[in-house]
Amino acid sequence: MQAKVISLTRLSENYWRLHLVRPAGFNFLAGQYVSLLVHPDGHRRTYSLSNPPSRYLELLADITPMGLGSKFILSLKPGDTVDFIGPMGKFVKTSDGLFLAGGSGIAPYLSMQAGPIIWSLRRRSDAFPVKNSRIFYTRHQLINYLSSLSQVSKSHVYLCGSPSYVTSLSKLLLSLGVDPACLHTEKFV
Amino acid sequence: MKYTPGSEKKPKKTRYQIKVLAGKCIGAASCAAVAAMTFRLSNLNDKQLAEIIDQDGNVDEEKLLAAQSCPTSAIEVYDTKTGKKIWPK
Repeated sequence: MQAKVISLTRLSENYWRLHLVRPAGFNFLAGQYVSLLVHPDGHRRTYSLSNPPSRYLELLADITPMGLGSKFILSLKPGDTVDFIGPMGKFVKTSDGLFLAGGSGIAPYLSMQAGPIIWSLRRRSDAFPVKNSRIFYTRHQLINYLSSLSQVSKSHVYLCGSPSYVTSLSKLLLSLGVDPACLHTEKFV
Repeated sequence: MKYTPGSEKKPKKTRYQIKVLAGKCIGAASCAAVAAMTFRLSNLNDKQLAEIIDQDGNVDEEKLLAAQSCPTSAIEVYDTKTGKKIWPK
């Protein structure tokens, strides 16, 4: 499937939003992702859709790694065409709850228009305004905050981020009494 | 694009042989989304990892796309006719 680039917008030091025309016949659920062709030899990278289903598609990209995907995203100009497959993934909102994101793991929550979002970032320069969100820059602050939430064990908790982020926070949340059936996770790199 | 049980698209025998490198897999599940009759996620030592359920579950093009979609390049694709690895390059 192909989509035309409308714009590429810098949101913070390393976060960019790619705005595309939604191809006819492409439908998705908030929380799903696509696999973008980032190199002619066939390399692909996955990016979560970060807007609610509409006439457009938005992808959120963290270009910190500056690998094939980052370089490809930064090379795009309005009018270019990107090739992708999707939508993919089953990380969709099934109930209200807490929405925890590591880095660009916030993208599916923007698509779901979900909140409250507890967002972990490595650097203050990566932050950009997101409604109903609270940002943590250290693991220590985050753990203290989660431990202080009296209702966390009775909530559905959504967790999206790197494998290490999801694995370590899953263990913490389960130790805080979160029901495994109420813990919804999505890993990406 | 995906093979669905009961359709006539399921190949009898495919040319590409695939291999999952468990040490690289992070359970992102893009392979299972692209080639659902070839891959699935399974629990292994408390981790969700990709597993091959049927080497001939999807056509070669879909199997290659599934490998190319893997964010950690944890799927290798071999051409059984030439014996060469065709992915990752």
